[in-house]
Amino acid sequence: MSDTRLNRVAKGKRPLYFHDPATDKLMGIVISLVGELAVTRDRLDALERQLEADGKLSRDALDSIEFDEAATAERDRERHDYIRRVMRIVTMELERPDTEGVTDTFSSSLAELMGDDEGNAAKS
Amino acid sequence: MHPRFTHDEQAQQDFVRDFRRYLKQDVMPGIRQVYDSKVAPAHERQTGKPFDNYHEVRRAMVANDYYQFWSAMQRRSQELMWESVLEPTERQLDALIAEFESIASDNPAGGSLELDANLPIPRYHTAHDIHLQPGAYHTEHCANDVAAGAVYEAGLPIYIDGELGPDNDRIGMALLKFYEAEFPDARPQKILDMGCTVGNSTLPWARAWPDAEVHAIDVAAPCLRYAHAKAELAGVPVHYSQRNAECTGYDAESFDLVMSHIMIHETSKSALKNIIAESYRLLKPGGVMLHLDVPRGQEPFGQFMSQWEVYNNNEVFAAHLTDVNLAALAVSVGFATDKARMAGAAPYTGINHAYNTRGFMWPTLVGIK
Repeated sequence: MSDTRLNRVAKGKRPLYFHDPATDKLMGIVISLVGELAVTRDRLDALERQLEADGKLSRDALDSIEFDEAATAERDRERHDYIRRVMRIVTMELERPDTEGVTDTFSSSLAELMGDDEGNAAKS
Repeated sequence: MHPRFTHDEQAQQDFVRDFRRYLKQDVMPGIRQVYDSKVAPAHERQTGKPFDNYHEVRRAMVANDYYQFWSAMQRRSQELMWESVLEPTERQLDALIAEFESIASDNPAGGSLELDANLPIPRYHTAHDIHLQPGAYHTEHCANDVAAGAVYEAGLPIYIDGELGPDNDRIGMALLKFYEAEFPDARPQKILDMGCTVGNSTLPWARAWPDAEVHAIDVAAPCLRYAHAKAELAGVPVHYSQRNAECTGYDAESFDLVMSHIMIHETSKSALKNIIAESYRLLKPGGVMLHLDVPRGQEPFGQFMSQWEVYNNNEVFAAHLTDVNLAALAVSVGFATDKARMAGAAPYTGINHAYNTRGFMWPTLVGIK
């Protein structure tokens, strides 16, 4: 391992592609994730091929594998939880109705903490 | 001199290559469709006339969401491309440098390497990292650094989807074949390749003319070290030297052939004129100058698309090139009017260039002294 560190980011300003810079950043993250998933899929494929070459696995058998009731239920539950985790941002406000949405500016909370019972800060 | 890649590093590079191929084959053609069916008609409705120039096209297209998405994804793919080769290079940098040092001390092919630590790196290299390679060609991170050369060489096949062939040498081959066809009786004794980076386009010339003295220059020391090691490993003697093509320091009238491969769009307006004047100065009477570059587009839409690199890929100084008459520039620095012209060098194999999928030719400035 070398101690030298190379730059990861090119010199020069990055153009803005969408109306909101946050969209640009999200796009960057999404494309990176697509790449990471591609790597994972390739890795899984390599793993299966190596196991098959070693006589530890038959990919045909894997493709036609049938799970018993308990295993099916466990897999369904894990998939369901996975989707809920990944999509949490969409349903956050449903999970905590007392937060009254996710766009709070915190002005009312701040006013409360600062002892302004009239909540004037929230109106300013 | 190649870094080795783990399974996952290779998979990351494969992804970037395939993602770029997808963008080129599936997404990019739609830009023309959107332009023809929506953007151009809307412009005509509003102004009563078609687009007059690529600046107008650009102003309209950057507001189009299809173009925005392609452009943002293309930019991202370029960033991920360098990232995918940077990390393995960094990890193996000590070994690559040791390999360079060993080859350079043996010099098996009989070439040479001459570096000039005091050579100023021109602003068109230092202001922005060209085509987003972090650190660009010239940055040195440690003694005897070869990282920029290794990263560039490993990135190229992903950059243009392997179209330069396994040795990244098909641009050199294209210009060599052009030269041989145009000048069948030429027997160059002394050849200069300007802006050679890792020498990938230089090597075909040195192989084709083994009795010639082949020189290659660049301002970037890490690329030249890599180029020297690569040439010596290949058994091809090339004399690499760290010099600026605007002012090389070689004797006047000392070369039979002076050329460059996709270099001039990475210089500046003033540098370009200096480089062509320097080419003229270096040539023996009857000598030939060849500067091959990327197409700049033929009409406003094509010109706009070729300008993508300017605004999104840090090829900032290429902005002026679309409007430059290179043959006239050559005449202005001394070439006779009937001895300077633009020509097209056919690609060495079929090439599916991003903006010119049919009838692709490398625009080439030809000058005879």
